[in-house]
Amino acid sequence: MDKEKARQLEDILGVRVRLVTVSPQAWAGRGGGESPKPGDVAEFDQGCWLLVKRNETGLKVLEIGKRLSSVESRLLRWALSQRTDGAFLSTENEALAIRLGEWIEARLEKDELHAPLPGEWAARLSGGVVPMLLNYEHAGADAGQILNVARSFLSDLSDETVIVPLRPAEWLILAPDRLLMEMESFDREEEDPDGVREELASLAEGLQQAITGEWGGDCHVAVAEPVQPREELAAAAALLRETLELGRRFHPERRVHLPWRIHLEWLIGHLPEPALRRIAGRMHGAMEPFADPETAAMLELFFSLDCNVSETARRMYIHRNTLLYRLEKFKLESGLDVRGFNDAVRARILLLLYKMTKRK
Amino acid sequence: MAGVRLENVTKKFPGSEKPAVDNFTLEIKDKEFLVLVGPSGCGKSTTLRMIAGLEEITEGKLYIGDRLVNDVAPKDRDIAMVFQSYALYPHMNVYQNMAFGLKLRKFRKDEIDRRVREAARMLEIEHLLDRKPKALSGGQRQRVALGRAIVREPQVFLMDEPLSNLDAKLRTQMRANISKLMKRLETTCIYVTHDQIEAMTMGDRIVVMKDGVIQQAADPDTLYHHPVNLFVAGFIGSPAMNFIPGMFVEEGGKLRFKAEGINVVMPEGKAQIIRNKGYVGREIILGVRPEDIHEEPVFLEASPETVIYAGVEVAENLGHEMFLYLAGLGKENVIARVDGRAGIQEGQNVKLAIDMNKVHVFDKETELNIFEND
Repeated sequence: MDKEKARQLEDILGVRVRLVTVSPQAWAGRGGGESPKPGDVAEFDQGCWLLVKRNETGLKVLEIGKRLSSVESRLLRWALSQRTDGAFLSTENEALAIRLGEWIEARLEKDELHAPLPGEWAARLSGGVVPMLLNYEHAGADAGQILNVARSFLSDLSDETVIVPLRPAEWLILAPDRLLMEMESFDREEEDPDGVREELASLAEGLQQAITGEWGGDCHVAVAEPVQPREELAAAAALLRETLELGRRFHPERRVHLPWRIHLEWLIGHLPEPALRRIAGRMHGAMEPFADPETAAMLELFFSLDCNVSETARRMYIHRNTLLYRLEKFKLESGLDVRGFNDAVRARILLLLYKMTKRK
Repeated sequence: MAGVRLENVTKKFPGSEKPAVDNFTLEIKDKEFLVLVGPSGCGKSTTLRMIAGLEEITEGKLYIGDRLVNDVAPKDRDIAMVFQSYALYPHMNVYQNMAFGLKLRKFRKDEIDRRVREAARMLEIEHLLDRKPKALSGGQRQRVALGRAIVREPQVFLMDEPLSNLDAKLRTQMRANISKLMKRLETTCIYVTHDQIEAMTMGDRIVVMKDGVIQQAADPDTLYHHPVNLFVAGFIGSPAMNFIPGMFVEEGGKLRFKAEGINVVMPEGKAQIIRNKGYVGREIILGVRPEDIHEEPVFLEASPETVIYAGVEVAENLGHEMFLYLAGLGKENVIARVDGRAGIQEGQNVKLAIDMNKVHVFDKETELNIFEND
């Protein structure tokens, strides 16, 4: 169904007709049935939605500016069923992926992170997969086009890759772990977890840049180490979602989020809100210097470079003595000498606490 | 090919009151190699990302050629970008990495092949086409990243610190390669760097930025010899320009600059401007490039009225030249760049002379160069 066809339908029905994509939640919110099929209708006060196609980006519906009579409804359902090009029918794979997404969401909600994969998927996902979570929000781009970039990016592996829609603008990408061999970083004789992580980070970075290079927008990617989906799929989805959420909260400048890089963030992120407020209240004075974004950025870089003064100064393009002067100023303001291990740990934790409690 | 025009472009990030880029207006000519330079956080990368379409423009207009592109997706802007972290796709070989963008745009296979091989030949990486990124050196990876951009045959190249991940030797080599390549391709290029040497050696024109605002846009020569303010003067040049706070006073019909350890005469041409602008008797900052402080006997003899005496705290001999860190002239060390064969030792007291025809004078309040601003 293209826009031209929608316009023709508009002429026939004499009311406004638009082709829009809605989420399954929005569909359900308007009284639409579960697991809807093309031709199904959800009615509301000012009109109705007629389902045209269900795919991994959501439900493509005709938004019709009136409620349909029984005859109109039957005629439209018949017209949809007469299409021979399959454009109106979700493919078997897409429908399966949608059901898998619903299954994962249900497991996450019930905290059943190690539930065995349902039968229809267990056979399909029998080998290891590299799980990635893609979150992309951009008003100007169609989600389908974004996923096409993702599929092209996985090139020869795209046929074996499953893209599972989760929440709106969120997809779980399951690429076969053969990908690691494609990267030539998988050495059975001598496994190097750091090497694999590095390559996975490049993969996520590449995917992120491939998408934004085409469409712009706010694109975030999280990637985890390979898992066996039969029993670890829900757990992997939970890990990636948490990684991405924590990453966005603590490191808004990052677009690629890696679970092995956010240990302290995880710890602080799980502290109960009242405890956080109490600690923040007690440490208020020491946290004040973080209100200056330049100080916060300097410390972030300093910590990420293992408190190496020369390297931090080099990356900031300032003289080593200038950095020492700024660290000394921070010491005077906060009472913390971050060149010493204990104070560096304190400052790092305080910086994360500051981001949780003050920077909203 | 096309030029790029930014009209009053401003970028504000959510939650930040201060704009990251503020009222940026600039016209970049077709085939020009423009360099955006400035310290960390000055807004140069944000400007580039707005041109690329990776950041939305808060206010203002952006044109590529004659087309307003504020709301055009990156893929439809006909630009190609090379990032600092040139994320080569690790699961694809070099050929596939370079072909990816064209494949996405559904180019014919033979056309993709032609472009990839031509770019590979240009970059001298033909022998690497079957290799995966992991098997490449830093310099080779960087050339593949460039190749990925070249095959697109864009109207504008955008490069964001593309050499910063390379070691110093490779950086120098790649610097020359990129300049040569851009001349050959005859395409507009906007290049971001924090490195003033890169800026000076590569750019047809350089834009110096600070706090999201253009400080000066000019060719390298103008920027070096006619900086409009203290920031540009201090940013361009290595070692940096010496800044000596002091005052002009009239003595015996001559205008003298006086500061701690310095009492020299201004040449009449410059003196007249200083008088006309009312800077006599006011605190100012004198800017002196290290190479404008001389030790050669011929110069000392010819300029007896600009002679200074100083103790050498540190002497760094680089062979062809020597940096002298001089004490007793103003509050901070003054650096002089002299001939490497001058034979000056640390701890020695030396007689030098300043070429006052080449000095700059900055207003202490506005920090503007009084010779370059009306």
